[in-house]
Amino acid sequence: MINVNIYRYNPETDQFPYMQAYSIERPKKDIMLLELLNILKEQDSSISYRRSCREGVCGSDGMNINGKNGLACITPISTAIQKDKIDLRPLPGLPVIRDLVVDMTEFYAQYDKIKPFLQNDSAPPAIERLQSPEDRAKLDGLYECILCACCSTSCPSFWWNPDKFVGPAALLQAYRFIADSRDTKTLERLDNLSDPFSVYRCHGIMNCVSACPKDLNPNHAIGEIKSMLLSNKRNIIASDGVS
Amino acid sequence: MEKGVAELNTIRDKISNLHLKDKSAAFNTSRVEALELRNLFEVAEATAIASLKRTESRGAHARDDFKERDDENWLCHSLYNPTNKELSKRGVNFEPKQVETFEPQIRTY
Repeated sequence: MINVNIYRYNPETDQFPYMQAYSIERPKKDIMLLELLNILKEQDSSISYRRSCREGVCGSDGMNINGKNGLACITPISTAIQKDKIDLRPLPGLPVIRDLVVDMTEFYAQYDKIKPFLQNDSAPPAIERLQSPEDRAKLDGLYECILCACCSTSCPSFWWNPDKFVGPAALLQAYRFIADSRDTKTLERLDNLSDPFSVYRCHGIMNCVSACPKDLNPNHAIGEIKSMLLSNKRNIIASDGVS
Repeated sequence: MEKGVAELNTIRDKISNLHLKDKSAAFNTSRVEALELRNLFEVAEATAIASLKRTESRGAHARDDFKERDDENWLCHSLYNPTNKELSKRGVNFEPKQVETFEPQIRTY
């Protein structure tokens, strides 16, 4: 048997959130946690959680699994389970709408802040803007992010300052465009991050790296941004106009 | 396949008696799933009936009782009408779509 404890909160009926215990036969096959949740929802239809693609692509079912953030759909029961027990809580630090569903407004507001789109002043060429294989390789480990918020909601700095600290997910994307050879707004992007909060609230504790279900490294991207902000690289960029 | 279509009829009866335990207005995923169920059922029925009527194999539509592709009778679109559960055909337009090259010329308006 597996004991699954799920964080329950319905704003219409509950004054406080509580943990509800479910007991379920351990399936013979090692299924994913999301599948287990679906079986539980057949028994108790009132459990609410986001899910869509069931294969780790959409980033909807980020949740706190036995104390660690991850995607339920790509976490096998065998890795999640500890002493026949699985505790499921909503992503920490964000307001809970209901059960395992959190309000992502603050997270998206930070993403919006870093202007997550290519900016280039030059006239668009007749064909695509080309990039050398080497320049394209610089974006590996950056573009794969699915914005599941597992990293930002595992970050104490984001918990304390979700309105001012951009957070690992959005900073990874900020660096994705800073590193892009086709983007010409590199300096503006760096200037927008140069205040004491946006980047510098990151103290490199690497919770984001440990939480990321896609094995990305936001901490490294933040380090690159910091060193660009501090070093003479900015001046080099400014003098020859190459980003 | 006929068995499947008959089974869908009993499922339709079941769906008409659909009951939601969860009446909450806050992120009620049960309600969303109930609405999805109705829509998906209509699609399932259209798929089942259309594939039962199409007596051939073509691409992903593979039947054990009709293993061959039948261009004579079935080189057409299937149109399913949910009101009478009938299937009708519509021809596939094979007319070549080619546009003549536009020769450069003086613009006079």
